[in-house]
Amino acid sequence: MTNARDVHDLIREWTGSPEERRQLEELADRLEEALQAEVPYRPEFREALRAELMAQARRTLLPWYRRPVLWASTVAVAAAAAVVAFGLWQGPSLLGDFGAVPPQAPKVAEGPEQPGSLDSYEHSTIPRLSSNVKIPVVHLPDEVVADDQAQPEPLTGLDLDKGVQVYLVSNPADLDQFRRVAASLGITGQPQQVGDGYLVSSGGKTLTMSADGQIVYADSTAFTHAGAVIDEHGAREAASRFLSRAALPVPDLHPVVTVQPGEQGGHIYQVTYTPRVEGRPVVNGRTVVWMTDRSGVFRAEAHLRAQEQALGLRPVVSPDEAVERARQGGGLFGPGVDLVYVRSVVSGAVYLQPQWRVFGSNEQGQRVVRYIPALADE
Amino acid sequence: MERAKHDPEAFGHLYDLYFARIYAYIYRRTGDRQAAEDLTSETFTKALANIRSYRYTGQPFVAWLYRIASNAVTDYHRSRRVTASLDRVAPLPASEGDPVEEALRLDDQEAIARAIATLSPDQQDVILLRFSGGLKLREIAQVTGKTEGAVKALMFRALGGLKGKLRESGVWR
Repeated sequence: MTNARDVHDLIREWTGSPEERRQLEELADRLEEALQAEVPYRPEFREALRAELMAQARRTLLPWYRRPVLWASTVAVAAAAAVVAFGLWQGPSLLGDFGAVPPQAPKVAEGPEQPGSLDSYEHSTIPRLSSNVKIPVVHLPDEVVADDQAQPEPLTGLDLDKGVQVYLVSNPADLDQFRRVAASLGITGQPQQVGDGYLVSSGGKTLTMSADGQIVYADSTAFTHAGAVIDEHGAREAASRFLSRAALPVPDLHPVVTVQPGEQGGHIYQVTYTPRVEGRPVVNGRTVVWMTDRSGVFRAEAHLRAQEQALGLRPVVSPDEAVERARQGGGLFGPGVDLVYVRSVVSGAVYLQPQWRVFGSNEQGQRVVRYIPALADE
Repeated sequence: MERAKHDPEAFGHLYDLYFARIYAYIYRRTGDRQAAEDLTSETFTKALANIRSYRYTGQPFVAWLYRIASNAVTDYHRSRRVTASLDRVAPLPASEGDPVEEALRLDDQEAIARAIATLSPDQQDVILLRFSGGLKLREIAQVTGKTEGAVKALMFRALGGLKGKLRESGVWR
């Protein structure tokens, strides 16, 4: 076996007897084969550790991240508590049984009574909601942007005097749909409930779904994919094929492709799709597909298809007010500003709410965008 | 690799790339699933904490990770004063194919795992870093802090020891 060539060389160098040499070379080949076999691990451990490391990486590698996150989480908790306290959320939980089982005791999900259809989520029951329901404000940390992305989109098509639409995402974490995505990606087995989400894994592939409908796909075998070498165009096509095969939405006709060197030579492509609502980007609802330069998709993050229910136009603060608020947080901001949507999860409900995105630089001099909640009456 | 020093996503890619290899190495050194999870977590956490001090000196990034993992395993054994129990070496995952061939393959793998567990810690390290980790002998020397000659000697003795153990177990003729 050629992979053990260096060990064969060593054996030849250290062994006089041809028979001894033959036996040790054969042993080296057997070791090579036996020890290359995958060792099973708990996929939920792998994903949980990844999430923990990524949170830690954001805190330690991004100096601008810490303060906004603490601020955001404090506000989010307070907002969630306020919703519960005042009984403003009147509908049933969108998330059904999520969270009923502690993470230490994953259970196998019940199978569907009938085979699901692709349309099932489109006709899902929408909870009773007053159009006047308050949407708790969420705060995002600053986001570092590349120089060529540091341009606001024009505020065309908006009538800010009338307000901006707010949406509720209905049935965002549909278990039947999750099963279909897993099956189409070749992942067999029953999803297990882990914490407030689900996980299914087989053959080195893992698919998880969080309570807000975000799914994460990971394939540890993708690095052995032996397809033809692709370029950026090929990466875009491969990502599109992957999403289509998985029956996941392709939310953007012009995804952004970034390239970075692979650890073992070659390149890694990242294809990022930004969905839009009301013509505006949903900045934290992006679909991202990562692959090797042989089109082996090794990770993808996306959201399941779901229907968005308009809750009505809401008054918003002015762009000038948003820039002023951005400046109060330190750094140099404005005049560039545009409007985006943010996917927010509050008290088990998923909303799409508008936010102002103010362009500038933080106190460390990095080019960033700062998100300022746009809703005026929340 | 350089991007991972200031880009969490790039660090995430490194994690995706090397998680399975590091976990497999630690599991084979400890024979204990809980220890494998704890030490894998410790390895990547230390890697993240020290990534800004990582400098490329001719050895691949994964060799640096293995060095952290190897130290963690050494500390684990030192603190517990135990060696991997032969009974705890779990069978490796089944693959599709002829059930008889599959059973033989698993028998072979289990016998090899048990034989490796009888080697000295240094010999285990050399065998696993080479055949499970895919490192070159020169890279193993850097990971373990030994000379390349010492690594070759450990490898040669380990192969001889394994041959004897596998003969005893009837797997090797």
